[in-house]
Amino acid sequence: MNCEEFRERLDEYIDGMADESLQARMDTHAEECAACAELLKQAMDIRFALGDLEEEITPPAFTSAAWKRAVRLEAEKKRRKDVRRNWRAFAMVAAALAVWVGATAIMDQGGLLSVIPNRMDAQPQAAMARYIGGEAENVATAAYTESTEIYLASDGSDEQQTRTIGTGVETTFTNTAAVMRVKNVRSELVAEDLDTALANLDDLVSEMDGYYEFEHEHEENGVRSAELTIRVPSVSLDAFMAEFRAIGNEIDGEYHEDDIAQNYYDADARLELLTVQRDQYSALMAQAASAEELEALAENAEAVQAQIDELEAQKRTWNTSVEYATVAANLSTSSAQAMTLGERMAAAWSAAISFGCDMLVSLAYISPFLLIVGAAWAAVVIAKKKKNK
Amino acid sequence: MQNAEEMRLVRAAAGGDVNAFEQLMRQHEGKMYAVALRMCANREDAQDCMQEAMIRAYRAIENFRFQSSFATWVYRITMNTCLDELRRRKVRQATSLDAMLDVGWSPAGGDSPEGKALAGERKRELEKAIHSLPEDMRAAIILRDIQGYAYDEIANILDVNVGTIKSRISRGREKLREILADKMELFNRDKV
Repeated sequence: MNCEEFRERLDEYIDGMADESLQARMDTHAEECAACAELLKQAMDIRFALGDLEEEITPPAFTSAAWKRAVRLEAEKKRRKDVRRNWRAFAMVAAALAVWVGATAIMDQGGLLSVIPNRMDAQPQAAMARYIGGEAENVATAAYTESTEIYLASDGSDEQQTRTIGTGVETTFTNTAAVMRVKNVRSELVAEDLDTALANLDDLVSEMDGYYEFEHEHEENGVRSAELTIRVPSVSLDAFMAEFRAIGNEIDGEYHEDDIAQNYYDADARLELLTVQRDQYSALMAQAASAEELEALAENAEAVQAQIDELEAQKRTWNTSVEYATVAANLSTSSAQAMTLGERMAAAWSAAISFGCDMLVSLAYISPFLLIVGAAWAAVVIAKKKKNK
Repeated sequence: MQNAEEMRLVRAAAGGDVNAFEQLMRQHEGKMYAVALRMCANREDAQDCMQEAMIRAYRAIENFRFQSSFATWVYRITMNTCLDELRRRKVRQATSLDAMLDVGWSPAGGDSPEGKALAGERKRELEKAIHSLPEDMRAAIILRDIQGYAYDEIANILDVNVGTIKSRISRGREKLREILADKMELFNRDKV
């Protein structure tokens, strides 16, 4: 071993990590080299002196007291920070819940949460007619082809002949995208005095240019009530209902809206075809070769005319239904309709469940926005973490 | 302290129990103070470092996962606190060892009055020499030659690799020999 290697391995020797062979070689070299021997002695002496120094030193009392006081202050700071964080979390949850409830209420007011689906959306391919003053406007096109077979016995025998008329009749309708809505409302009101309520209702119906389709009053167990069917112009329905509800206390209500545009359109198309058929029958009757043929054609023409009459009557009924909404009202006095606590609890529970369902629906409406906000927030957090690294 | 008892106190302290934390740290404050005193230039700095180390330990104890011994974890915090403070202040004042001895050190030494005087002198010179070392060498020497930690444990405490620790210890010992070269008669074991 030379002196350089001795110096390099000195720390191993001092730390007791030299194996027997190394230790022996270093001892041998120390015996031969006075300088290395002196170096080893100094290193060992200092090493032992360091080892004699205390591992532990008892701090002064004021030092101990100081760190204990500091730790308790830190604990108090942490406790207050935790309380503030919990309150912040609570406030955020409460605010989010308030926004959710508010959004639900607003959507409910706007009819977005209505139970009745929009029939226009259910039939996107259907051609619908807007009737403005009875005339159709052109928007979409539908084609119908119909052929009609008639049975004729031209010579009185049982042999039947068929003649096809109206084959390939195409009726083209172009329609706008609006609807024909039939509005129906059911409402139950409780009023202090039935006569006053009925009088107020009379004034209201008159003011709104409506009319009564059905009226019936009755008394049961000393309680008077009235059942009414009121027709009100559809455009005034909302205003009518707002005034109607002010007459008494509405305890139950329901609203239905049906879109009959498709039915109306179908009826119109059918009517057009039937009209063409009737006219063709009339033309054939003028050319009838025999009385029997004339009679048969007349019968068919009558049958077609009957269908035309029926359809036109239906259309008139539909027009009225669209023009006038139907309000089925039930008015009664308050003493009869006062709800028991159980009924009120049940009604409240039912309303709460219903509102809970509305909240879930509203969540579906706002979930795309929540996803966007959540993604943006996550991106910001990830960017901050990367920056801190 | 039994390991099970230590674990119980650690868990209680992590849950916010200040009393459990104090009881836990009382077992280690002597070693922490010894390290702080030897790392820092003066007693006041040592007290500040120890207080700061205790606060850091309290804040961090909820994240202690028993992956190392609790003592190692405490030493790491103490050393890092002292090193941070020294780097921040960059002050190495000459230590008043007499003042440091006032805090209750009892230098080991022979029974005779001369022996005790010699031991006291040796201790003073040694502490002065330790204080003269650069911080990183000083930390390594304190942990190895005074506190008796193994190289890998020191590497864990100071968060550097073992090779770096060996280098720092080697250079630190060499520097101590240089500083104490003309005072080696104090360290002659034949005379102790």
